[in-house]
Amino acid sequence: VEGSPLDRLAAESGRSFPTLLKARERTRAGLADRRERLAKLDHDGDVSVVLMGSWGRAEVTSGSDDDFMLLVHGHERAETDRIASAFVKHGAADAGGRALGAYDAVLALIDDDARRMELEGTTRGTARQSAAFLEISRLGDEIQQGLLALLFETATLPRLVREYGIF
Amino acid sequence: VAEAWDVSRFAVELSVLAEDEVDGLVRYLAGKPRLPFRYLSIHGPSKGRQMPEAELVDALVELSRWGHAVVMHPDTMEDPGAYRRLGRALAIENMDARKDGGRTVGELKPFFTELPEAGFCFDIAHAWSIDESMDVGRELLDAFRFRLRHLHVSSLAAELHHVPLSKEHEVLFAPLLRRCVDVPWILEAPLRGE
Repeated sequence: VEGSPLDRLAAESGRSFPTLLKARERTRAGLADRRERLAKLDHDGDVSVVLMGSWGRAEVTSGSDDDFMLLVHGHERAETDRIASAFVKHGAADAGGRALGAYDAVLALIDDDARRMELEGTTRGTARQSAAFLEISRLGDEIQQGLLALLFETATLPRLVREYGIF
Repeated sequence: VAEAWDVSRFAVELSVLAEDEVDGLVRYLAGKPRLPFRYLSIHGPSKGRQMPEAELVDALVELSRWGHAVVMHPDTMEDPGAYRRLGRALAIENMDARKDGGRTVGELKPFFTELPEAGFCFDIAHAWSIDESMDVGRELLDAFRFRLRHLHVSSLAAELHHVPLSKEHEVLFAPLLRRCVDVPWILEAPLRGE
């Protein structure tokens, strides 16, 4: 008997498995569709999108969701590397320098024991009297401005963000 | 404020024309309701300075608690080091052709050396008044791009006061403006009437 072990079991037992086979076909078609759509996106060559759960079992039904992970071949990339790479790749190096520069300043502030203590002791009522709080608040705004520019002001990313961005 | 709100709900700049207006502005900003803009710049006094500098800096530090940036003209700063207490809240603006200093990279660099945390407020029309080819503007942006906090955008009339951005300048300034899309733009004149 040709086909998968499930086909052979169906042949030998006389029991059909129409829902399982339909789910396999749905999985195959769904994977082909996703491969085609994902291939159109700008991506590094060493990145794989791995679907899990019902996709991995080839049991996709109308109720299945897309649980996935990203696998990157090579050294692990820090989040800031990925963000830096995006700024460079999308022609926003100035904005990237400002945003990650602000992030660098946030880390420096947090790494300063006295200023970290000041932040820990700051309340809503004392926030405007805290130089550390005001500074980290401004830095946060600068980081946000840079990321918003990357996502919404570059040439190609806004279209992808509109389609795939989740906040 | 209402007029600014009609133009943009994102950013606004309030100016302290004279030193004796600082306290009043602090009271205004501390009052409720708070101003609804996401980015608030405060322009420090730029003319007729009389107050001792340390006293002015005290007042500006208090003012800075209510905004994202305090903009100062470098030619009004007698002792730049005195402004260090403003930290990142301080933004130094490049000057126009009428001034004797603070116009170019070389003239601004000593201020930033003295004030390592200070930001840069890029007035693109002021840069144009120095060099209509915009090379000076490009140099300013290259040198101080990582300090850039916000922009002043307009054109300048013959006597160098701010007027609405002309179509010609919009085209001329575009390459530099494109490098600044992540920071707030303060319009120093009303929007151009079409």
